Amino acid sequence: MGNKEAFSTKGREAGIQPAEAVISTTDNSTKYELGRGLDVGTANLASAIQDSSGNVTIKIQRNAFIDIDADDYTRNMLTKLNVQYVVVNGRMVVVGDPAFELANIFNRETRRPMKDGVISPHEQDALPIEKLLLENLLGAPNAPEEVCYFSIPADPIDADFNVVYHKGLFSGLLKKMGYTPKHLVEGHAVVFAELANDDFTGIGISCGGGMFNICVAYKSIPALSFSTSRAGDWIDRNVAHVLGIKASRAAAIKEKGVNLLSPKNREEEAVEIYYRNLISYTLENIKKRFESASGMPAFPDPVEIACSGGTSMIGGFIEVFKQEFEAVKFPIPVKNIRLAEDPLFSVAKGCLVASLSDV
Amino acid sequence: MSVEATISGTAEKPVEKKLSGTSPLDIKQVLQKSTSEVPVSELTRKGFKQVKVLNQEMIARLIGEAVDRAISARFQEITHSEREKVIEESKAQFEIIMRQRAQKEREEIEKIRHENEEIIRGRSQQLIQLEAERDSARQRVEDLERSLAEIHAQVEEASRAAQADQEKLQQIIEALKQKEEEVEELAEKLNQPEGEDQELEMKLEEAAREKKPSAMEGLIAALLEKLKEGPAAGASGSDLSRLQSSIEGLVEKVSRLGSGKSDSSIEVIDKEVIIEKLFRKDRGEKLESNVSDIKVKEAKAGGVKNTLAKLKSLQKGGQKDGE
Repeated sequence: MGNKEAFSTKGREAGIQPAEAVISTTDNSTKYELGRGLDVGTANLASAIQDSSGNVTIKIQRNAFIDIDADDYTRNMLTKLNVQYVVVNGRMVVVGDPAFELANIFNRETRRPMKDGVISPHEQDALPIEKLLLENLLGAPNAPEEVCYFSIPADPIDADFNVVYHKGLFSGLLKKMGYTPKHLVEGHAVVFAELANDDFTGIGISCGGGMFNICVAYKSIPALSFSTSRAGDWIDRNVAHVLGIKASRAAAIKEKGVNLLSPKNREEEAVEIYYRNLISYTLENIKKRFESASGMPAFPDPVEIACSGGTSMIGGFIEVFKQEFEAVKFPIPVKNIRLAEDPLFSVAKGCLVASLSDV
Repeated sequence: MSVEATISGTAEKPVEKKLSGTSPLDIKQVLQKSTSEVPVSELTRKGFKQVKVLNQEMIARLIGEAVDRAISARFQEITHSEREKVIEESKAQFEIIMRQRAQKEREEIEKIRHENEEIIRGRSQQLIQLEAERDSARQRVEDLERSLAEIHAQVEEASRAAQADQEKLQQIIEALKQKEEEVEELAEKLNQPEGEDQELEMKLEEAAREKKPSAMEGLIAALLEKLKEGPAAGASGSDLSRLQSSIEGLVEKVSRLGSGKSDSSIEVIDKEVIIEKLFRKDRGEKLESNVSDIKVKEAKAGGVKNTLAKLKSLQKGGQKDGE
């Protein structure tokens, strides 16, 4: 890191105004704006940062790991092959995308630090690995107490848990790294990233691995936020069950290039069936929540629905979404349903927008 | 008297009686002018055997009656048609007026409806904002309450654990004292035999007088001191439970020493090391990994400058409304 022009929150509280609205620091030749976005997803972790020219850089890593036998030869080989590993409690674990690839090669399941959108209670190695992955994605803050907005899921309507522990845990991790952590509901992050041209009014849906997060917003203010517990991992589990394969393998099939409108074989058909069911389930739940929620705004004009997240990147997703939408009598008028500009990065970008507007 | 029989041989125009502005009609004169006298014998000759006879007065009366009837009928006709005309005109006027009034009222209603919509829209926005603020405040309160409860529980648990460990330590000290008494008794017994043992006895007495605290006693005393500082010194609940198991191990060692047995495999551990290890907190030691040596996958995403500008402008606009 080069010279740092630090502007602490304490200075701001003391009434000292910065010379510029945004303070940047140098990292060799690049100057970065202060403020980070962090997408803490079940399937992927992604961080976002903007440089002074307005370019946004996303660092992304699969949120998974797998144990392997440890020896010095393996250590050296993994480093040479650019495969990240960690030694936890005397065991070597491979982290990130290579874990996913190794799982498929050895026909094993990956281990996941997060499950259903929150930190997994069953994974005792989750915390140190998650901490390491975050440090690798974010690095040190560019200024002391730099603001970092991280995503959290909204409370689910079809499962019995809340996100208090998850929120507290990640706040603590980020604070220890020197950031000022603030949280943002995933659906709201999608609204920030995708609905600027609609005055931040409409519906943002984050189609993640563990959960679908939905946010209905009016002029950037969330009127309704909730999540459902069926998402990408649910599809993988069910496809794996009906085909008699591992869930990691089902995920690989899904990600290799299926088109939901024209499945080519039995495996792709299974994927299509569960996707339709998932989308229909999501739309029905949105409709039920709309109809049961009090104080819903009456939108004067038809709104846009923007879908993001890895689960929405499959071929034909929006077309199938529109088809299932026609079958549901939606309570508010919708003018368009579209995919996010960067579906995998929307939540991280939305968090980045929140943190940059917070400075 | 000659009977004047008036017979009209040809169809003549009906008598028109002028209704106003003219002199009254002399019917008698008219009858005389329009009739001719015919002797009866002539009539007989022509074949008329019987004739109907009307006198002038009757005729005048009939004519008068006819005219009256005609006038009356005409009057009725005029009145009915005029009335209808007036009614039609009135209807038309009425409709025009009603239409104008209805149009005016519609415009009023439209204006009021529009104003109402504006008010409702404004209120809805305010309501949304207030609800969002209320929800976030509620959430914060819940989070704080939960954190407080967790902290209370942790403090209670730590106090309980410290209390239990202190009690155990007391028990160990009492056991030690008992062992010491047994040692003294043995020493006394040793004092009784005479002769060669006297030298040994004296040595024992000396040792008892200059009795230095054993390593174990010193350790336990140091432990007690440390524990008296309480959980605030840095020991967590888990630290204290580890301490408990260590102390139980020490108790076992002490018992073996007291009974005269010795285990050559027992390590002599420096008490400072034990205490330091027992009370050391987790300093977040780094895991062995090569993660920092390998670059994470990076991607370029669409810029957010425009989005950010729009959001800031919306936030400023919201603030102005709030002022």
